[in-house]
Amino acid sequence: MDTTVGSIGADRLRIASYLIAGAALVAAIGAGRIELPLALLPLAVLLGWSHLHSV
Amino acid sequence: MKVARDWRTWLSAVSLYTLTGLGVTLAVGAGIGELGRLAGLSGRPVPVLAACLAIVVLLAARELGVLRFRLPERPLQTEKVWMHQFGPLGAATMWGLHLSLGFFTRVNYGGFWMLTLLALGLGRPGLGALLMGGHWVGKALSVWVAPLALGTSADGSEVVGIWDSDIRHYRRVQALGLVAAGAVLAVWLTMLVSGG
Repeated sequence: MDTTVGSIGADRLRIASYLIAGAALVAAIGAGRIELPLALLPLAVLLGWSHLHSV
Repeated sequence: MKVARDWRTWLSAVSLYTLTGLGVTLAVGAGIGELGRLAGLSGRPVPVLAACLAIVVLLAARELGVLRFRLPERPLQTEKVWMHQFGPLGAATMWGLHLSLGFFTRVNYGGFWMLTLLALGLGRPGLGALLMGGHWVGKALSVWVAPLALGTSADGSEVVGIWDSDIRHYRRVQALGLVAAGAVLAVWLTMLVSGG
């Protein structure tokens, strides 16, 4: 992999990661106010996102 | 996706990958929840939540590098050769089916096991389906986001390469998810114990 492309890609994926983490936390708070166990759903998405796997 | 010939093929393949995986994870999550219900765990949320909370603390400590231990896993990757055998759409479907099962490939981070134990312990098939399905949606999200991060390329091997080079960041995000889930469990447990 080209180092420059890899670095740009890593930066963009990091930004996406921050956005997804923020959205998941906000959604968890909102869902938890409706029904507490539902707060776990956006957090499950966040855990899946950061789960390194073979694509 | 390992190879994308054009955007229509890519879109079809990624959609198939996501939807087949979602179908499998919803069924697996519901099945695990049903197993827990049949085992009589659904009537005992307090010890289950307390145990899951303790496990969350251990798993978060692992992701932050405080503790070191191996997670149960089968150290297998999915079959790249399916691309040549079944074409992009067939392979995407097969990869979705295989990877979404979770128990038959690598499990690098602890969140998967925390959600599995929670789905089993709470003994609620609907919630189990949501938790495992949600985890899959998050996993599949990496494939949807890849073209945004890599410009024109949607080669999965590049994404995995980037992921590997920035592994500390993703471990911290995993720890954040675990800590947040732990906070939800702690609030839930407190409400049950205090009768709220």
